[in-house]
Amino acid sequence: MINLQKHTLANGLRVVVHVDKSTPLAAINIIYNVGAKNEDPNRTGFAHLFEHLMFGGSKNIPLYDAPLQMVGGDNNAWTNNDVTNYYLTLPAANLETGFWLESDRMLELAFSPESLEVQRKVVIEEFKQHYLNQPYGDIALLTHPLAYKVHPYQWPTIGKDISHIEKATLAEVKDFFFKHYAPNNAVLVVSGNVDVLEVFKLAEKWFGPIPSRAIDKREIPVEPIQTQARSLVVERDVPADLIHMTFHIGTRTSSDFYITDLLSDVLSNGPSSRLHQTLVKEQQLFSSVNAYISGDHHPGLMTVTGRLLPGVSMGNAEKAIWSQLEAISTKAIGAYELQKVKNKIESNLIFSEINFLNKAMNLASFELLGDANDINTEVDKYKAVSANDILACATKVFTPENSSTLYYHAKKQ
Amino acid sequence: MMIDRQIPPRFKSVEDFDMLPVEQYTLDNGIGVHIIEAGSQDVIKIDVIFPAGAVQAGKPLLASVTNKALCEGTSAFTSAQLSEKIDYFGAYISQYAHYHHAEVSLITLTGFLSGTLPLLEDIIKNPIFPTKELETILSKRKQEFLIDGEKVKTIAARSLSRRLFGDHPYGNMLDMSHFDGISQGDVMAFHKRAYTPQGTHIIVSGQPGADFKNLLNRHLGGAWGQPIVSDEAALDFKPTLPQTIFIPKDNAVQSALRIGRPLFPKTHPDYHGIQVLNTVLGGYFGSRLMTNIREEKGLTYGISSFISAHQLAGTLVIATEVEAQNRELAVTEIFREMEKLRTELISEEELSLVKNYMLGDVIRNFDGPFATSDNYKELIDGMLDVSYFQQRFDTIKTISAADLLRLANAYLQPNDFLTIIVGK
Repeated sequence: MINLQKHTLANGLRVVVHVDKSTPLAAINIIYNVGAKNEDPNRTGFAHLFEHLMFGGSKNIPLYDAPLQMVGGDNNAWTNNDVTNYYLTLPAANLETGFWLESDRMLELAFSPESLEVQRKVVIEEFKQHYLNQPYGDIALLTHPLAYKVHPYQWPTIGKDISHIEKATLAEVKDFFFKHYAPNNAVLVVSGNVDVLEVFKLAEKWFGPIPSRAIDKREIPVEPIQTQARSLVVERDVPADLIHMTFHIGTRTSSDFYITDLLSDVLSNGPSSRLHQTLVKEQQLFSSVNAYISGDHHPGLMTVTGRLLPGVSMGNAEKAIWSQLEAISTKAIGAYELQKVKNKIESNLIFSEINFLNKAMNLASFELLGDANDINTEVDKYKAVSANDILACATKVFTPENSSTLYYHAKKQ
Repeated sequence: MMIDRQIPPRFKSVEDFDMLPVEQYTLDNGIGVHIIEAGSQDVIKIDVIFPAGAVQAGKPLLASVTNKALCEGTSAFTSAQLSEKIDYFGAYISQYAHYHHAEVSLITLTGFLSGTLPLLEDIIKNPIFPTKELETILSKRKQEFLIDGEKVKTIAARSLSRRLFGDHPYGNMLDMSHFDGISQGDVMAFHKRAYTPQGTHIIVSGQPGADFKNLLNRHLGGAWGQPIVSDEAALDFKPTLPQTIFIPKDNAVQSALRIGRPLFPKTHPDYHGIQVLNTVLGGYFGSRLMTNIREEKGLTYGISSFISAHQLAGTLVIATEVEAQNRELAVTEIFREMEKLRTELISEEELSLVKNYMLGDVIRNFDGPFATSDNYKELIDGMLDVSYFQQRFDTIKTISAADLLRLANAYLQPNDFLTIIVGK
């Protein structure tokens, strides 16, 4: 059970506090309700580029990092399809420094042209390092547009193409900031060795004066239901063949999220899971195999992927995966297997409650989606899932017409 | 009331180093136990650390394959049965082989310890290493080795360690032929001589629960195995320095750079000081290298320098992946940053920033029982006294700009460095 207190400021900023006196530290986590899905299709990668610019100085503070490091703090940020998340940790006695820094960059960025020029180059190098210059690095660039034809999840967070980053202008940066970065489009979570009333007071002092802003409510197109199997074949200079299949599933907030999550766990969570035991251990077809779900705000994907061992044909590998997906779609899992995946979920939830920063991030995600208190009822939602629920879910998800398959072949030497 | 946002709030520097207490005792068989009891969740982590690393194995892959294969079947259970049981308890067993040690760790809910600890005991004492499972591990490793070998950063890192340490285990000399050279007999023999109580330590962190000591002694306090203290390879390789190596890699859109030098072990009197110097150079987000190469010139997504130190020797390495056409500029700038540290005193402002950042990092590194146990392992691996952490804290607190200038002149001379460039 995670204790929490909530308060909403007049400008719409939601503030959540979790007290954990076992640490001498505190964390501040701010999540903004903007991600790659809010981007203009001709400026993809913008939300992530913008995350970099948030470290290039704000209206009243020329540098973000140095003043935080000066008080013993550390920070980072990440961007995904739906959100952009900023976090810092520092000795609890210096909490106010974090409020000062985070509120100033919510108030207004410095919008320096130099920062845009440099971060543009940095992000292009990040694109090259992670997506172009790594074996299998381009998988996300290939699979997203295969699974999504109209919804913006068709491009990965880094963007469709380097040229979009190259063309970004300062005017677009300013526009993006005022449309998405606002107290009424964010959640502030403070956790650690803090006092609840003190946190609410600091939130009022530093974030209270920031005005609400008109948030861009661009209509995001709904992905039509897929009716035909899709596939893509590529050949790359890599040592081993790989197969990557995706299936459309529901949203993070849909009631069958927990069913779908347990379905993916039966397939692939832990060394005793079905795919690992059958495909890696017994049949020795793959060196590794994995199944996971995305947890996106809009309808997401279940991915099933594996790297083939030498001498195994793509056809046999694919057939072996399908036979596992068919097995789970035709016969309900037994009571023991269901209890096993639920036990694992329960212990993972307890492990996730150890670290104060981890708790701050999780609380922020829950509050953004509805209510931070939902964090404490998660385990009950998993416990309520039955074997028949999982069977029905598997039958619906694992059909050829719902699948998109990438055949990633190693170039013959 | 208007607040003046240009004035930073007042702050406090970290004044004291408080580490959670560590209780030490020995099991009946002499295994040293170190207990860090704390935490708000009923979770326990047990790390069993054996002198069973690459140095003791004396042959590439043997230490890591033996370590990995412990879970792949015992005289009582098959690999699949072990996995079922561990997953059913919601527990994790993880393994890792280093140069001088190999670990087996269990993380479990304290309430299930009486179910999970016998499994840990079984995989440590009674593994049977089935050949089919060894083959599976080796073919997976081989594929990973090949995939990693396509990455410019791995090519550079492998080349650097070979050229610094030769055929000593620190050189990580691994090639395709080694994958065919590991037999079941090798693995069984290594397990029998290295995974024994002799020289072994156990670190326990979290909430161990009542009766823990009896439980631990019952399962891991007896005698097993036949310890043989192996002759450890001497480190007598002399690298050719300075040297610049270019390794071509077709289709590389970025070039990887590794610029490194051999360094002393953690017992050296300059060890804590050079950690501070390294932080200034490339050890944090605001470092000289990040500021110059990333934040001013935009040549890279990231650049860092880091120190790794083992019982016999260590390294100081600068690593980055940069825009290919500007790699010469990056190399020049990296050496220019070293030169500045040798010739110019660091300002009081920068020094206090680095000190405060590092002191905050100490607090983060020792926050709670699990972070503490991860850091505490360093003492066992480096054969160090617990005062090591206090010395590090004190060095950060008291080191001066003049000290850093001296260290830079001693350890950041271009003639001591090997430069590896991998790219098109």
